[in-house]
Amino acid sequence: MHMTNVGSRVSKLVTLAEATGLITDGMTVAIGGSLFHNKPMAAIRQIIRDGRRELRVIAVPQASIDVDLLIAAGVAREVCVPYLGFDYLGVAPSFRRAVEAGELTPLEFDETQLLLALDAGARAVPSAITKTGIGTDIIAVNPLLREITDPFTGEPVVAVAAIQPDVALLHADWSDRFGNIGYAGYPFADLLIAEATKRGGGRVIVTAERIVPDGYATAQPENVRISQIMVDQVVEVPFGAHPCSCHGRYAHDASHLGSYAAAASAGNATGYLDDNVRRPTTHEEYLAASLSASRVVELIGEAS
Amino acid sequence: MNAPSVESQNWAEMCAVLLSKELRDGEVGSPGGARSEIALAAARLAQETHAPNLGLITSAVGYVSNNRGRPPAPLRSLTTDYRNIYAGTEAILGIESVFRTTRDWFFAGGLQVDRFGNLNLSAIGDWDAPRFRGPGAAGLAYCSICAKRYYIYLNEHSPRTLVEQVDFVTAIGHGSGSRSREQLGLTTTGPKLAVTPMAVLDFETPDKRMRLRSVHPWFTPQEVIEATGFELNVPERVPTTPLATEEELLILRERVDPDGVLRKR
Repeated sequence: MHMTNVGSRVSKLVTLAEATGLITDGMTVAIGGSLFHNKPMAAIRQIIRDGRRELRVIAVPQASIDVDLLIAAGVAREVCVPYLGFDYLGVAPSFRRAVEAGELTPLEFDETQLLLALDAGARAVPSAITKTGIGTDIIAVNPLLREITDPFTGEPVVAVAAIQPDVALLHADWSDRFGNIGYAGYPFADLLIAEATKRGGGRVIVTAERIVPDGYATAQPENVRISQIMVDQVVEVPFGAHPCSCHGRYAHDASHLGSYAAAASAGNATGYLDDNVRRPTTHEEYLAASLSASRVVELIGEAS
Repeated sequence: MNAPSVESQNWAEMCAVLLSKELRDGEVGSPGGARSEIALAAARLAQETHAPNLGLITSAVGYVSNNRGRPPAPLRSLTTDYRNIYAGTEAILGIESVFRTTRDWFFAGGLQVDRFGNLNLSAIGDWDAPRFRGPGAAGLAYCSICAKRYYIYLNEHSPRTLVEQVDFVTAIGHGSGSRSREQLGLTTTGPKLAVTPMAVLDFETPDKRMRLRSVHPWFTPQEVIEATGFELNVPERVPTTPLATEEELLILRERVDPDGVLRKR
């Protein structure tokens, strides 16, 4: 990893390949954002180019093409995602195919259970309890959930095992070179994901639309959602969430997402991966191949 | 004012109006996540009409909004679309608050719903190699026990969506019926109504079995019974679901859904 001394403070700016180089096969990787928003897609494409395998992938509250692409590329061994789908654009095609073929077993979670698992991880306690899951089949199929009796009231409750990811991958609107992070729209569960990762000794990687100058955070610390004390590496990737949104900055690209879903549903996720992930060897080449200037203008317009 | 007519509206608009009347002024709730245009429209319409003090929290993001008295904000298909959730947003809750805030009401969809209102969003068929893998629980296992009451919306009314018993209970309805929820220590009511493209259903029976509450004017009770995969409780006289009045439709279309997202359903 390349770090540059800046007086007494260290810049955390690295290249995309340097950042994903922290990830090794078999790790637990937690992805921030939700559904079509704030997904670190440039980093996900780089993980696929890196040829990673056997990752346990966590995304909370929701996921779409981020996790689906990792499944399509054979990167994910296990997924913990409370909602993995394409909302009004349909099902998550590669997730659906892999599970129906018996190749991938998802760990079923409600959003509140997985958030609680990360909360327990962030507080470094072995488990936490909730009522969520009582009366459902979720508890029966997920080994990280167990129905127990509350020691105080005797009520049935669900114990959730703590999770501390090895790596957190987040996408934000801006960061300074030290890793103070700001969002244009909703930050979803990114802070909690970073806290659970950091508490377990894992690494937090943030990709950002732009790197702001020194003093930007100092002028508005109330707008910093994640402090640099939580962040290990920062990568500048304009349009790095495409085809998802950078929430509040540009919209999700529904036609691109729809064309992926159509290709993958027809059994041709490989064609999509070749055109959008493998042939473009860098994020800059991806933007040149997959996103036109006129589309950029439209997507920015849809978010304002 | 003209009399309401079956030509002037579709089931989605009619149900948005019907559900808006279920939401009382001063309550707090959420419209649910995926494919929840009807629910979001119902909540916004309630704010525009009889419930100006309704607290509306967009699900999975903590945007608390009230668009009353502001320029119309077109409904979008994606609940979490920035334009959608920013319409009339007054406060933004952190993700912890989203799940700590009690809801009076909630809306939930599903792949399957059974005779007691239990929902399956996970998998159809064998768990280890299902015939159909769905998106998962989202937050519905939580909301089905946290919200004081909830409303089910289904975009298809057929024997494959309305089944005797769900293949997987992702969110609890009335469990195995009768006093199931109380026996599990749950203090909330569970599902109150279910709306489908054909009918409105409720659980107002001694054993909480689903009952045919009303049939939409485009169908007969017999058609609904045949499109349901279990034995519905059917009252002797089945009412027709009330159409939205022309005035209600006007407010819905001018204030809540000027782009006609519901009309295209």
